[in-house]
Order: sequence, then C-alpha cells, then structure tokens
Amino acid sequence: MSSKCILKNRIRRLRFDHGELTQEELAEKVGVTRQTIIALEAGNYNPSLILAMRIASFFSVPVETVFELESPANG
Amino acid sequence: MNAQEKEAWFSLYVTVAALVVYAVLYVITRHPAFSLCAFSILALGALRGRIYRKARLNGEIAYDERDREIGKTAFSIAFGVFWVVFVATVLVVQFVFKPHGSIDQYSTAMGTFVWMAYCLIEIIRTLIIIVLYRKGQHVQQMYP
Repeated sequence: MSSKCILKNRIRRLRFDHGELTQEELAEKVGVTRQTIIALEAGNYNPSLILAMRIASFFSVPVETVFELESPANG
Repeated sequence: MNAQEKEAWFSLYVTVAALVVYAVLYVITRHPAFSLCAFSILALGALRGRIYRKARLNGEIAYDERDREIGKTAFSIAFGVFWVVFVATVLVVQFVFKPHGSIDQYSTAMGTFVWMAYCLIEIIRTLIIIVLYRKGQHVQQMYP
C-alpha cells in the first residue's frame, strides 16, 4: 500500500527572516511569477528540482532546510 | 491575473464569438459554406502573443514552469475529450449507417468538422486553464 507524501516548505518563514522579503521580490530573484511563489507557500504546487535549488541557493541554505517531505505515517 | 490566464480568457472569448457568429449566420443564411466565414474571427488568436509581450515589456516574468505545467495539463485533457468525442462519433456513424452505407454530405462538412474540433479543444483548454488558476489547483493532482 503506497502512502501519499506531502512536500512542505519554509519559504514564508525564510522570506521574513531575510529582511521581510516580499513574494514579488523573491519571485523576481528566482525567475518565476509571483503567483508561483503564492502557490508554493500555500502548498498548491511542487517546484521542479531546479527551482527548489534556486530558492535554496538564494537563501543560502540547503534544499532540505527549505523543503521537507512528510508522509502521513510520520504525521 | 498572469499572462497565461489573460491569454486563456482572450482565446475563450474569441472562440465563443466565432461559434456564435457561425450559428447566427447559419440560421439566417442556411448556407453552410458562407457560415464558415465566421471562423475567420479565430484569426484574432494571433494577437495572443501581445499579451505575453506586454508582460515582458513591463519587466514581468511572463511564463514560468508552473504556467507550462498548467498549459500542458489543460491541453492534454482537452485533446483527450476531443479524442473521445471523435471516436464516439465514428462508432455511432458506423452503427447507424452500417459498413456499406454512405452519408450524403455537403462538401463543407470536412471544413466544418475541423473548425468545430478546434473550437472544442480550445474551449476546454481555456476553461481548464482558468479553473486551475482560480482554484490554485495542485497541478500534479491531475495525474496522481
């Protein structure tokens, strides 16, 4: 039986920790639209590997710090 | 509203306008060939590129990976619906007219079919794009 994994992220927290960066400013830095950042933060969109690494590189943190894979069994 | 959503609304309006004009012309003239002129309205679709160009000129990012995924999902579903309708139509015609039967048709029937198929795909594609953007739908959920 397969369990559905959920990709969680800390983008919103990282934005606030980096001088209260706006969604639009972050979007411009990583090369996506503001709507994509909104969808990412709301958990409505899983980024590609390249985008995930761009975001992590921008915040100067490992990808695992920004994104976390959570399975329902782990709660 | 981002560029692809604007483009979807624009395409939807143009396609529906073409269909409405076709229906009105057909009812008024009862001339299938003349009614097909209504589909010349679809040439306005060439203006879609201006929506993306305007966004780029404003310094915005007009199209990113999420837009690409939504576009691909919408087209896949639209083409799938068209394919089901097409196969169903072929099967129904075969059952109704039998293997050795024939259909009397206007010479414009093929042209009408092509334009209607395009309109069907375009309407479904644009509606799905609009719904996916409005609902903030998880694109990957379309294909679990």
